[in-house]
Amino acid sequence: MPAITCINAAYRYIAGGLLLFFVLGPAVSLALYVAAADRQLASSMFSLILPEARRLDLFISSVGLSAASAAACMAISWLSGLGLCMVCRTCPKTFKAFSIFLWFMALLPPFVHAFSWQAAFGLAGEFMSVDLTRGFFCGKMASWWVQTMAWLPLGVGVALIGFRGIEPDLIEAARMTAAPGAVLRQIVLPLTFPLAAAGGILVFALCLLDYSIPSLFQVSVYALEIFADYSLYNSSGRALMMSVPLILAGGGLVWTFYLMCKPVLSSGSLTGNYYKGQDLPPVYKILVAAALIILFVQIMLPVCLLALAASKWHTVFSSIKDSVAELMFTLQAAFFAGTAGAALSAGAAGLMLRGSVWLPALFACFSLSLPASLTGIGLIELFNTPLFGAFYNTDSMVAAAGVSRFGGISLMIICLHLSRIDRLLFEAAELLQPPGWRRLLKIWLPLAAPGIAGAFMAVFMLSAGELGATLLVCPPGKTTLTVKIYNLLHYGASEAVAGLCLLLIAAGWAAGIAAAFLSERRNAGDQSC
Amino acid sequence: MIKAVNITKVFGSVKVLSEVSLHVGRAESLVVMGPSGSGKTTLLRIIAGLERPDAGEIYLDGSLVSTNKWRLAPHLRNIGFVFQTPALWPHMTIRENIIFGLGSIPKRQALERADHLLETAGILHTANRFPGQISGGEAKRAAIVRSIAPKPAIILMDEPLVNLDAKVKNQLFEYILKVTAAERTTLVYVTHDAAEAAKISGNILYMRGCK
Repeated sequence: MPAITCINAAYRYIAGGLLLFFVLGPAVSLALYVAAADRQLASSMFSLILPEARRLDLFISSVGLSAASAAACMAISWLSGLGLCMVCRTCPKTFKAFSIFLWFMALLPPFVHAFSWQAAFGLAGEFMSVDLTRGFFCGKMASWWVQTMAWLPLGVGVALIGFRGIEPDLIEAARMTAAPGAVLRQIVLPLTFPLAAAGGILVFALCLLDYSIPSLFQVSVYALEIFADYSLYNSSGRALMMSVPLILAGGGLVWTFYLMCKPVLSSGSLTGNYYKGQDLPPVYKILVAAALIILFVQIMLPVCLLALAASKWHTVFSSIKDSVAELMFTLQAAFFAGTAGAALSAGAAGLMLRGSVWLPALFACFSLSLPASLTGIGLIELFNTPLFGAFYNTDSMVAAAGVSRFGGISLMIICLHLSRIDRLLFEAAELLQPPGWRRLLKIWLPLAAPGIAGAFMAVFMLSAGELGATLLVCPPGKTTLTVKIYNLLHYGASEAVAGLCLLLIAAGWAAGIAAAFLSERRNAGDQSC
Repeated sequence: MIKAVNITKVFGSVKVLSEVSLHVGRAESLVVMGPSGSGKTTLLRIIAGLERPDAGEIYLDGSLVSTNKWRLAPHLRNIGFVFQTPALWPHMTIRENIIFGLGSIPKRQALERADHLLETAGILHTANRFPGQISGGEAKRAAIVRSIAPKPAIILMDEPLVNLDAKVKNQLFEYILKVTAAERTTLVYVTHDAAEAAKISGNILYMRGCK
């Protein structure tokens, strides 16, 4: 057997093993903790699986709040997607570039949106001489609105996949025999809405598992209860048992999202044409225009308001200057998490990708359905042991939190990318070249590179904005920018927070625009504007 | 019946059609042939109203329906279109696919007409199935039935028999000729197959270099 084949096989197994360790390790260590507990303690912990009394009410209200945000997000996403198709109908490049840009907006930490909406309502209240933050914009209502808006770019991004997956012939066949309204209702809606609904389901799961936005509006949710309970009892087992309802609900929702997206993601139609729109009936025109305005406001509002809240550029610069240490630490941890996530996923993909992507999808669903605080608690349980004690309380814990939480996503991105590459391209290389570095570097790596780069970017950005797990595993004397902003936010809106949030948004915008530009360069052969 | 005058179409910097003119009388047939990229499909799409010409005019039954500034909506032209792919809507059964274009007649009559056409096409057994549950030949038949169901005055067919085996191809071809003759429908048929072209009694338009 050639040396390269041995190295390749060894790399796959080591990378696969390490990825499993980071993603499953925290949950497994918590399960072992419960298994090792004495009978009385274990039985008291098991009694926490089914929420009762106050926790049951909290769980139901969390589900209700998340469902309401998801439903609103789904409706606005579909209408915005339709509107973007209409706006970009003569320019496919703009459409594709904007779709990519939206994905980067979706990666911004949700509490940045919370802060900008707080600032928006504060300013509007000042303008109208009414304290809106004590009226409409407080409590559950504010939390619902901000969650809807914060996840809107993600919802629109998923909905646009639906509009990109549609076969133009299906629409044109309908246009030959029916009026635009009928075509929209009976053909376009049933063909594209499943993806918008899938986006809504993903938003449902993310809202259910996130506590950062509700906590800023003094709304208690089930995900926050886990963190609070751990702070009170310092019991990893209790945290795991309390998380079971969330893991089951979140996991079910994420798996449903995968099943709904699977037909489009596994086909090659994503690279094809997108729905180019048609003349809409007046009612739809109004709805689409409203949805587009909301999307535009959601994208522009954080930048404009934070710039306004920061009021002076020297304040922005001084707040950034005061946070250089946190910024550097965040970038460093996110870079390591991104590199490790992409490298391990690239190796693991070779093991897990066997014709279908269901195994990586299951893996991704598992990592997404774990509440962030539980991952942090699991990491403490895993690393605060004699075996891994050398790593505990070091900077690497923050990077490990990034890999643990988002390793499943990076694996899924690479597997999806590899599964969409025509097998003939690899087989042609096998016919022309023996296994070796040349084949690896000239064929496999260039073909896999976009997937690996996408996985790196996703883990990098998500880790940079990660809060729930990082909050628990940050080493003494160090903190990430996200944790610093979140802590400052509880003291109310300040110029310093605005400056730091602006920095995060600028990073997201820069990455999004760069990715859109690179994608456009890559698709230079596509139809031009 | 169909009159195209100096039709020109440009995509980006590529001229796809350059001053193409044609005339097809009522119940006549026209076969359009030519190499790939010569603009056959674009010409059909312009006649159907799916694309707007950059120059030139389209007349149907003597009425102006397309210019570079204005076009009549496709569904108001009374035209049937069979694409290269069956393009059956996956969320509807075969019967629902056919009834979709029969919105102007009562539902009971629409059902009867759909079932009658499916029977004459030999695919009535697929009526309640979804497109993913039928064979390629059956899907093509269903696509043809869908296009003729609203009794269009004109049928445009863009290589409707590609990727079919010889037996199914012959059966379908006979079916197309029979149906268009029975309904006295004007047929514009795009093909690469000279044998198919020879069997259709009508004029042949050979397109080369977008002309």
